Amino acid sequence: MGTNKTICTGMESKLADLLLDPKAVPAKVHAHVAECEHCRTELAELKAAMAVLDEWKAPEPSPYFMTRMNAKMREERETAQGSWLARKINQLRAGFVYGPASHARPLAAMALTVMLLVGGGTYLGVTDWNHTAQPQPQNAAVVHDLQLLDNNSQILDQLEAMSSSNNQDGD
Amino acid sequence: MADDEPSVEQRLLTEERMAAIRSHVMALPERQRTAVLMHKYQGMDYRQIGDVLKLSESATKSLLFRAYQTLREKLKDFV
Repeated sequence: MGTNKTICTGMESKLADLLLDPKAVPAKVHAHVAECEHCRTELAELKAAMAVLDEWKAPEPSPYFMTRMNAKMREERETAQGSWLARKINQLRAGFVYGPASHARPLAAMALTVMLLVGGGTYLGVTDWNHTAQPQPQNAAVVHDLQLLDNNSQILDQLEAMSSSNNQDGD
Repeated sequence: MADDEPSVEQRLLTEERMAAIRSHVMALPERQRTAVLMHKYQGMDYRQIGDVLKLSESATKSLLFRAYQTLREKLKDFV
């Protein structure tokens, strides 16, 4: 096997196997690494680097974080055990917030229908719920006067008719 | 003070070492960094990592190997 700077040609994938899944590596690869100083050194250094990484541990969350987390979980549990209406509202809210947009289609259709009804009703003047019977407009003064004149003329006609009949009787 | 408690100097050295390890891991290219974090700190094997990163087994091994080669060079002083 030819060698490059550090490891033998074609050994990179085999060293990766040795590093990540040593049980799956054939015995002849183990034998080669045991004999080849370059490959052995490379593998040892890689293992050492991995061991160094073990020293770094992710920090533990602060007690304040855990307190908040527990409070949040308790709150969620209490909400889940609440009334039927509260659960339904929460389900609807969750579905609306986290669910697919198709959940909003019936709501959008209803909203559109209500808007059309309200808009159309407003346009036709139907929405005036406090509508009261408008008082009949007062007759205009001119009409009133004409009616008076008409009545007067009728009275005059009647008087004239009466006087003429009296005259005829007198004759 | 008990003898087994680390001294201030030891604590500082440890902190410096941790900071260096962390900075070198975080300086890796994104996919290498993700693979190393999953492998080393989440305890996932390369098959699981390959599933997450949508990579074949050989590609995942190669990715991890390159990441550890880089870290070996960077962490030479700490080994």
